[in-house]
Amino acid sequence: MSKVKLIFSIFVIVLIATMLVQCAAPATEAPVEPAAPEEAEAPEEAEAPEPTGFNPPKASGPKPDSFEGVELRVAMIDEEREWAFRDLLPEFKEQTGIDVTIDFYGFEDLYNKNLTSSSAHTGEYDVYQFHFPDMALFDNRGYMLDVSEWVERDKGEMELDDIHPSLQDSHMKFKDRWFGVPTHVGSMTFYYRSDIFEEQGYEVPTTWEEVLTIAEDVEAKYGDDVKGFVFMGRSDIQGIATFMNFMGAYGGDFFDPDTFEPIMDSPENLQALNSLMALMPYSIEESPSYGFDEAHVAFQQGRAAMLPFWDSGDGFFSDPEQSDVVGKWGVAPMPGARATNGGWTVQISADSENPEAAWEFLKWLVSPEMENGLVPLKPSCRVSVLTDPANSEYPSYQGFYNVLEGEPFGFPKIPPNWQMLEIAAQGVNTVLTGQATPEEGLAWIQEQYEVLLLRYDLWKP
Amino acid sequence: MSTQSLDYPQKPDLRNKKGGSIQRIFGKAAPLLLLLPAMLILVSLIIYPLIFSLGKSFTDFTLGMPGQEFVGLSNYVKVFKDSNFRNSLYVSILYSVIAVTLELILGFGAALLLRRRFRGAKVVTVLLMLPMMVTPVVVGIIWLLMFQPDFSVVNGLLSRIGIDGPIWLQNPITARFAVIISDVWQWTPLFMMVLLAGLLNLPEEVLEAAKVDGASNWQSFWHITIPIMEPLILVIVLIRFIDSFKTFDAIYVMTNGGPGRATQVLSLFIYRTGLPFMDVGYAAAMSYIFLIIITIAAILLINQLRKT
Repeated sequence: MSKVKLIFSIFVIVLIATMLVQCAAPATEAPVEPAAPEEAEAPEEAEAPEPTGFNPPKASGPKPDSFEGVELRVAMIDEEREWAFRDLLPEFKEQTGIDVTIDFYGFEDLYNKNLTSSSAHTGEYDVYQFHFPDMALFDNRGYMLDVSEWVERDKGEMELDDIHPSLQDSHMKFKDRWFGVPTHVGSMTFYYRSDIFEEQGYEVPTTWEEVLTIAEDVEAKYGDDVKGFVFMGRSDIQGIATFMNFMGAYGGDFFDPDTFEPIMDSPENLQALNSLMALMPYSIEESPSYGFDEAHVAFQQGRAAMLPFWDSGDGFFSDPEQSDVVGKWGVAPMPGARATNGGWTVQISADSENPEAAWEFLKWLVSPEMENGLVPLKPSCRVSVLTDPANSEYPSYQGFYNVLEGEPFGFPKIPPNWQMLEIAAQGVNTVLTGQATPEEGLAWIQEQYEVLLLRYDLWKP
Repeated sequence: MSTQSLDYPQKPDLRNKKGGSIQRIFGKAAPLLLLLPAMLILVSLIIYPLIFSLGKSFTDFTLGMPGQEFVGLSNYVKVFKDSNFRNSLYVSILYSVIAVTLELILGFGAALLLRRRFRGAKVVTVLLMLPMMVTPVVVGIIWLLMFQPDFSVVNGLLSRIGIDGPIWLQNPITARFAVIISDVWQWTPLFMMVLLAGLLNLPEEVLEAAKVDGASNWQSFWHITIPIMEPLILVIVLIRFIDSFKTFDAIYVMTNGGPGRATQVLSLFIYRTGLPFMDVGYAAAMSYIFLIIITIAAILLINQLRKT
C-alpha cells in the first residue's frame, strides 16, 4: 500500500470514528450548571423549572459581619468612568476590607473574555461588566448570580427607587429577576453647532428631513470648510448605534417583538436607510469609515455642523484643551424622538467564591455618593443626580433623563444580540460604501437574521 | 625489553549476566521513553484539539449552550451554500495570490540588488529585514495610521506631488490594496533573505560559461538563475502562501473585515463565527474545509517541486 493510501485510510478511519462518537453521544446533554456559591444554595429556593432552561444560581443569606481579607477580581470596559472606580478602590477597601483588582478590556475583548471565562467556568472573575443587552445571553445561561433576594434585602440602603425605572428594567432585570446594577449609562443625542444655527437662523431639527434641509444649506453656505453632517458609519457597534436613531425615527425595528420575525427589510427600515444615505453628500466624506473617536474629533475640530453621538460628547466638546468649539455647540433631543439607548451593567459571576463581597462592591458602584462624585463622567442612573439643578451645566444629564422618560430605542435584548448588531453594522456599511443598494443591504441583513433567529429557536415561522 | 600488556576495560557482556535482560529491555525502550514527553505534548496540544474540533464539526455545538446534537455533514453542506463563506474564500485567495506574487517579485529584485557588493550592503540588508521582525498586530496599527481616513500618511505624501489620495479604507478596492500592501511590506524581506541565500550559492562556473558563450544578463537570469533556483522559489512561495492564507491579525486591526465585508478573509470569518457568534460547530466545519483547501494547494505546489 502506498503512503498516500495509508494516510487516506487513517484519515477515513478517524473521520468515521469521530462521527460515531458524536453519534453515540446523548442527543442533548444535561445543562451545564455553574457551581453556585454555598451561600446561594438555599433549599427553599427550589421552584418550578423555567421553560427555557433558565435556572441561574440564586444569592441568599444574611450579610457576613466582616469581609476583611476578601479579594475580588473584576473585568471592566477600558473607559474613563471605570478608571475613576479604580482610583477610588482604596476608599472601598478602607470601608469594607475588600481588596478589589480591576482588569480593563476594549469592547470586543471584554465580551470575548466574559463569554469564554463564563462558559468555561474558570472563576477568573468575581464581577463582570458587560453591555446591557448581553444580559439575555449571560443571565439566560446561568453565568451570573440572581441577586433578587439581596436587592429586596438592601433596596433601602441602595435607594433603589432613585434609580430610574427604565434603567431598572433594561440594565438590572432579566425576565423579572434582578441581576446587576447600571453603571456607565447613557444614550445618543443630537449635537449641533449653536453658533452656525444662530448665524443662519436655523431651528433645532426634530426630524431627519429637517436635518437634511439644514445640511444642504450648510453645504451651500460654508462649502468644504464646514460640512453639514458627520456620523459614525464604520462597520461596528457605533455604526449600527447611529443607524438605530434613524430606524427608531421611522418606526423600524430589528424583529417583531411578539414573534421574533425579522423585519429588517421593512419599508420603515428602508426609509431610515434612505434617509441616512440622503445625508451622505452633505456629510464629511470619511463618515462611513468613522468610529467613535474620528466622529467626535471631526465635530470638535469644527468640521461639521451636526452629529448624532453618545452623550459623552459633552466632555469632549467642552474641553478647551482639545475642542475648537467650546461654547459653540448645543445639544437637542434626537430627531425622530427615539434615541439609541446604551450602557453597561455590572453583575456577579456564578462562579465567584465571594458573592456577598461582590454584592457590596456592586452597591458601592451605584451608591448615591459615588453617582454624585462621578459627575460629569457620563450621565447617572439616579433620577436625583440627573435632575439636580446643580448639574444643569451638563446638558446630557437632563437630555438623558428626557430620553428615559420618553421611548428610548434599546439594543435587542436577546441572546444573539451581538451577532445581530454585527450583521446589521456590516450590511449598513456595505450600503454606505457603495457596495450595495439600500434594498440589497437590508435584504442581506434580513436573510442573515432569518437564519440566526431560527437557529436560536426564537422565531418559529 | 619487556613488553607490558595494556588491559583495557572490556564492555560487559550483558547477555550472560544477571539483570542483563532488564538493561537490554531498558536499552530498547530508552528512545521511546525519551520521546514520550514530546509525544504527549504533541498528542495533547495538536492531535487532541484536531480530533475534538473534527467531532464538533458534526454537531450544532454552540458555545455555552447546554446540549448539542449530532447533525452529520450538514455543517459541511452549509459551508458550500453559504455566500458569506464564498465571499471570504474569494477575498482570501485574492489576498494571498496578489500578496505572494508581489512579495516574490519585489523580494527577488531586492535579492538581486543585494547580491552585488556595495558599501553598506550589510546595513541595508539588516534594515530591509526589520519589518519581518514586527508582530502582525503592530504591522496592522502602523498601516492603519498610514491609511487612516483623516490623517493618512500615504495621502500626505501623495499630496506633496499633487495627488489627492483616496479614502483608502472606505473603498473595497483600495481597502484590499491597503491590506495587501501591509502584508507585502512585512514579508518581502523573507523572500529577499531566502532568495539572496540562493543567489549567493549559485554555481559561478555555470554563469561564467554562459557569459563566455555570449549569453546576455537577461538570458543568464531567465535560462540559468531561475531554473536553478526554482525549487527554492517554490518552497518559499508554498510557505508564504499557506501563511498568508491564514492572515488574521493585521486585517483585524486595519479594517476588521470592512468596508462592509470587502476584506473579510476566511480566517476572520471563521473567528467571527466561532467566538463572538458562538457557532462553534459550523466554525469547526469551515476550519476543516479551510484546511483541505490549503492542503490541496500545498500538494499541488509540492508536486511541482518534485518535478523540478
